[in-house]
Amino acid sequence: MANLAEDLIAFILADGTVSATTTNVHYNQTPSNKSTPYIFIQQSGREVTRCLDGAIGPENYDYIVEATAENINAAKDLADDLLTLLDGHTGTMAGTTVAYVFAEDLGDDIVSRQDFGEAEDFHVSGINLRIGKDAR
Amino acid sequence: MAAGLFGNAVVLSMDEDDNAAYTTIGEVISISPPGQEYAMVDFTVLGDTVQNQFPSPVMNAPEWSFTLLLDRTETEQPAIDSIVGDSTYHSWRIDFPWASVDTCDFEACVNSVSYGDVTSDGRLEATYTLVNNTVNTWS
Repeated sequence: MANLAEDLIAFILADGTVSATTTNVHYNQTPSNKSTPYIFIQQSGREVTRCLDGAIGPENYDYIVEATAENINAAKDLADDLLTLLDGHTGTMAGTTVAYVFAEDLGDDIVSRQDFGEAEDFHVSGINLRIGKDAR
Repeated sequence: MAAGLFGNAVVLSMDEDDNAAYTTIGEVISISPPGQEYAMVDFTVLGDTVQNQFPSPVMNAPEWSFTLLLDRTETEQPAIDSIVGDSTYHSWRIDFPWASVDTCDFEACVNSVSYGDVTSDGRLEATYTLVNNTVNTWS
């Protein structure tokens, strides 16, 4: 069974609009010779309701999703496509059924990379993602 | 050597139809067990410089509550709802995870149910409040 992060990545890649812009989705680590634009995803937390009998109740998963490109407009356009795809989604997400996906615009940033001895700045438009899983 | 226990694995059960068979209640996320409090009778008289109180042998009716994940597919939850406000004291039990003296029995009526706020990313839950007419019996 795929974990939620794998299903999130599969769901993003299955979207025609996003995949027309990039199919580079990196989880937790970006390769040094990556090509842009790309999407970086990292889990930032998990909140679980625990019943007294040990059963797991509703779970909230939090992710940071960063749309990264060589200029800010390309990064923001990719972030907008991700917001359109993810925010408010409910139901099937690849192999997982989710109660909801809520996405909030996180803000812009710049990441500096120095690959092959050459410094380069990339623009980042970030999204906070919260995914709820319950008994449905 | 460790001392004390977590609340994990504490079991709440009830005998809502009074047939001496307890039904375990599932999806419970918290319990505030019934305590024991005795009224203090005031016998202060004129001339006293300090309020005088005497501990009454009569225990106040303990009020207690538990909260569970609201789930209408759980059979116990409609069963609990059916005894809310039925003006009857039923048998309740809390089993603690000690090796001995781990069962607490008492008689209680369910006098209210309330629901937590319903929000998009919040869990659905219900809280039941009960009032006892017996002292806790440990065994």
